[in-house]
Amino acid sequence: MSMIAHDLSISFMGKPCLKNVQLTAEPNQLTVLIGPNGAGKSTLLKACCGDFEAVSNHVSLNGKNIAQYSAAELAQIRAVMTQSYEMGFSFTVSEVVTMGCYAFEHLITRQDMAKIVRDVMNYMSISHLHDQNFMTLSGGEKQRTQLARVLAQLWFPYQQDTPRFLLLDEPTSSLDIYHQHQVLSLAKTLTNRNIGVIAVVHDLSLAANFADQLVLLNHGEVITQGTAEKVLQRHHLDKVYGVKGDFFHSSPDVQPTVLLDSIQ
Amino acid sequence: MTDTLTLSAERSKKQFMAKPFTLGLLILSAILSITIGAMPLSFNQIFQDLLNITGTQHYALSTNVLLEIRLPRTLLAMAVGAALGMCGAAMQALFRNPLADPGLIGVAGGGAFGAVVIIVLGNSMFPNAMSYFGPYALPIGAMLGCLGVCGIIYKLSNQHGQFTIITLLLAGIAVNAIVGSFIGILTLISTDEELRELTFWTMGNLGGNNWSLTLPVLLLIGISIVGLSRLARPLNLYLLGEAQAEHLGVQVAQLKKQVFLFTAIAIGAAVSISGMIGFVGFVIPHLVRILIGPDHKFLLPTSMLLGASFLTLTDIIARIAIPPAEVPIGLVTSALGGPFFLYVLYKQTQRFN
Repeated sequence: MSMIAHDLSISFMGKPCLKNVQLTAEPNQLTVLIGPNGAGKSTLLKACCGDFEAVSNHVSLNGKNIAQYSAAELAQIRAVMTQSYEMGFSFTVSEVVTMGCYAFEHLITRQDMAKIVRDVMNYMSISHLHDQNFMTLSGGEKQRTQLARVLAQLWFPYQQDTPRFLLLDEPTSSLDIYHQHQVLSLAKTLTNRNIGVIAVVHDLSLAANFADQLVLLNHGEVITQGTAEKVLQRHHLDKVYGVKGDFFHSSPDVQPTVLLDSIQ
Repeated sequence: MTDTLTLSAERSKKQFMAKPFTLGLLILSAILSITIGAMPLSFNQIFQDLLNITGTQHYALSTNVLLEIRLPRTLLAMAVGAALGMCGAAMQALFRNPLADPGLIGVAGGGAFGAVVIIVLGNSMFPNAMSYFGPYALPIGAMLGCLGVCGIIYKLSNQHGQFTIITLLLAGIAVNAIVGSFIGILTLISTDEELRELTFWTMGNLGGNNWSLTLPVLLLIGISIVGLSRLARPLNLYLLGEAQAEHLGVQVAQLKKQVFLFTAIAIGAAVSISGMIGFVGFVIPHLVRILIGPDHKFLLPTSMLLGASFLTLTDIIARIAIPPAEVPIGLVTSALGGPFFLYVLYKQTQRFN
């Protein structure tokens, strides 16, 4: 029971974006996709969401091709946070968050739904914004609102035997350092609830801090995957990003970091 | 749009009040529309007439006016206004743009083309059909025009099971332009009398329709209003974005097709019987959204009720402004709606300063 992309290749207008990618994301694990711009991280994530119908038979979720799920069935077991979340209509923050309950709103009472919305808004510390017009929020507040909506989708039921998956495309791009850590530790907490999380993160130190599995992509191919020590090696960083640096994790008391060589 | 920072308390109160208020307004305008006209009818008289209907063969003049003229016309005004208001809101959601209008998908242009073909070419090209269909020829022609143009636009946008909104928009603009030039050519070769008729058609008119023309229109509009009302929740999610709505469990391609089809049915029926009535489909939902917010659970019914009352009231003005003639209703809606909308916009921008 996991999310598996097998032999996944995608090209747009003849330009290959993913080449024979193999990826297995387990529930109870935080898988972080890293790689330079244009490496194919978002494309891989979108393929896992089922956005590309042509390749959806190369992605399976809990042992079944995602092509065989209906949109409503998929929505019950996987939630997605995309990179773009602008909206031209003046919904309030709580209206946006409530939309996350669409997949199961016929199964629960109004009070339960209000409680879910309240909980996830507390979690993302946006409760004070609940009456505000979404369009007037700052970038980080918009991102936290959308994250709360995505969380609401998987909040119910709290424990479930069927593994569920949360896919996050750069969930921390507009967030301050406190909220970056908060979002990823939340993702980590979710993995205790039989939820697998796949996230695209650019900050290598942040990724190393939280990930159970790192997947390094470049030019549409998986270069290497595994623990932070294994993936963030000097020759990988040089080859993929063109930067010279080392992975440090001096003691369990401090968090691991990637430190770059000083400019000569 | 709404610029206020704290919305919810105020907004939910407005959302709660919107439906009863607009329903009351609609009932009031319907009563006015039935009583006011070239032959004023009092409540007493209407009551008496309704009592007399059972059994008697020879109705009084007032009964005939009530049953054969006022009632169908009022119902038609309500239905057409409801269709324009609700479909306008649905189109603005479909294009995720508050400036969209039911005319964008080519229904109105196609209807105009069909109508103009009947007016200009009908008698010379198919005289038999014209005499066979009589007064039904024009609405049938307009309906066929709507169906044809919508069919072409639907076909162009619906490739590989994907219903692409940008193709829909561009195809709509292109087909409208083509149809516009055909109408121009037909206008060139029309006689003076035909020119007058087609000019008036494009300005809209709700009068002169009996029950047998009105009932099918009421039915078609009723079907699509029921259909669209059921899409309120998915349409809210759709405003987050197509991919986002799909991830939340909405079948987006199907949703877009349904909105397109229901709008085409309702607007096609409305245009074919009443001609082109501009501005209502754009301004009513926009106004309602400013007042009660974008939630379609409230936006769709309120736009429908407000559109219905607005058109019923403007139709009264169209009837009584210059007796014994009638002002084309499209002129009244734009002349009244335009300044009012400008006023609302002015008030909105004032709040920013």
